[in-house]
Amino acid sequence: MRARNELERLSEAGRPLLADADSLVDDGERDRILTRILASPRSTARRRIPRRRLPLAIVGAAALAAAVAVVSTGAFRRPSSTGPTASGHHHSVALSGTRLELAGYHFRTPAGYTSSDTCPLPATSTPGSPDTVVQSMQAAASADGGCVRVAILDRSWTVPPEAQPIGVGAYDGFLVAPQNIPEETLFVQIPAAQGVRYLVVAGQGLSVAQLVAIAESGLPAAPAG
Amino acid sequence: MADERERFERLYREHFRAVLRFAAVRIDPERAKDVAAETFLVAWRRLEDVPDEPRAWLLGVARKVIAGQFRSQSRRDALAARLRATDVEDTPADPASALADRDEVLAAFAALGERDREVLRLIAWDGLSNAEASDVLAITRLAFAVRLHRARRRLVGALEPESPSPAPPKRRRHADARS
Repeated sequence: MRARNELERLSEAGRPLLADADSLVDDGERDRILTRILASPRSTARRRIPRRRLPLAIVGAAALAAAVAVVSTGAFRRPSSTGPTASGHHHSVALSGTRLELAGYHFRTPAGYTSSDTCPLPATSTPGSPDTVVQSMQAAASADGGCVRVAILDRSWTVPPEAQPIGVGAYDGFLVAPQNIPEETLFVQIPAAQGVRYLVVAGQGLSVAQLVAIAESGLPAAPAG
Repeated sequence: MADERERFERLYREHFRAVLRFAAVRIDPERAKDVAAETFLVAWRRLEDVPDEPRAWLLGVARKVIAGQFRSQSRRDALAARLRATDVEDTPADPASALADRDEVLAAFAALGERDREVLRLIAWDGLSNAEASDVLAITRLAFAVRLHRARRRLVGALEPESPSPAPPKRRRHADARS
């Protein structure tokens, strides 16, 4: 039996408190709260602009109009809506492309990606552990040449000292810098009964936020095993 | 209007428990109920702003409501005491060991800064993904991932102050520089 990590221990420790929360409100009280909310007016509170905020609202509207005018001139037009370079600064990473199935996990890919066997294969050796081999891999490509690959390593991979640790939900992830391999690569530690496996997510031109989102889209919320 | 009402009722029934739980691990029980009610009142008034995947949006609202109510240290202390006093459940094998482990974890958790505790709560107790949690905090996903990693490392450090961290040496990098 494997040792639980700190997040699992914390999750377990909070369970009684969450169970207590469930008993705070019974069905009757919940319905009464709902009735009170539905009886309250909906739209007035939001639409009314207090007099002291009116100048601010006018300035805001003017700024918005200016922004619309600038955008309509094409000054900030994005190069491609389906390309692989969507920015990680955006809060939402759209993963509406094809799904890649791998070792029972289903990973979503960015918009515009379809399954492909033409993406170049990654190096057979991996940074930190040259003898570690890829057990299985799936890839997807976009029309403009982008590639995303997900893979499972067949045995424990050693985290190279230059890897940057990063949290991927309840999992430990490590980013390997592009100087070692030609693209940003995310390794995610997946605890299992037989030991640790690593999920690898790599893609040309993908942001770190996209790599993390792809990994998260296929992994269960909490590590199993 | 009927559609809106129906949509809101569905939203309420599907997510009330999650919002109440979210509030209950951050504020005392009586206020947690108020926070949940206030959160859904906001959702009712701004129903057109509620996204199709509403959980992170609702928890973000709840967080702001709590921020208005939960400012004093004494309330935080009361919550910490309640955490420690709650009975241990689901301890089939060895209740004493489970209790000790729970006390150890909660003590380590309590020793962290509020910023660390919040990212850990979002993942461990609210069961959110990185993406949802970053939406709740209104930060980028990459910034959240970095914050989460650091919080986890500090939690491990607080749990095992004697042992060295298993993480590889840190290479500092600006959270948003490459995303």
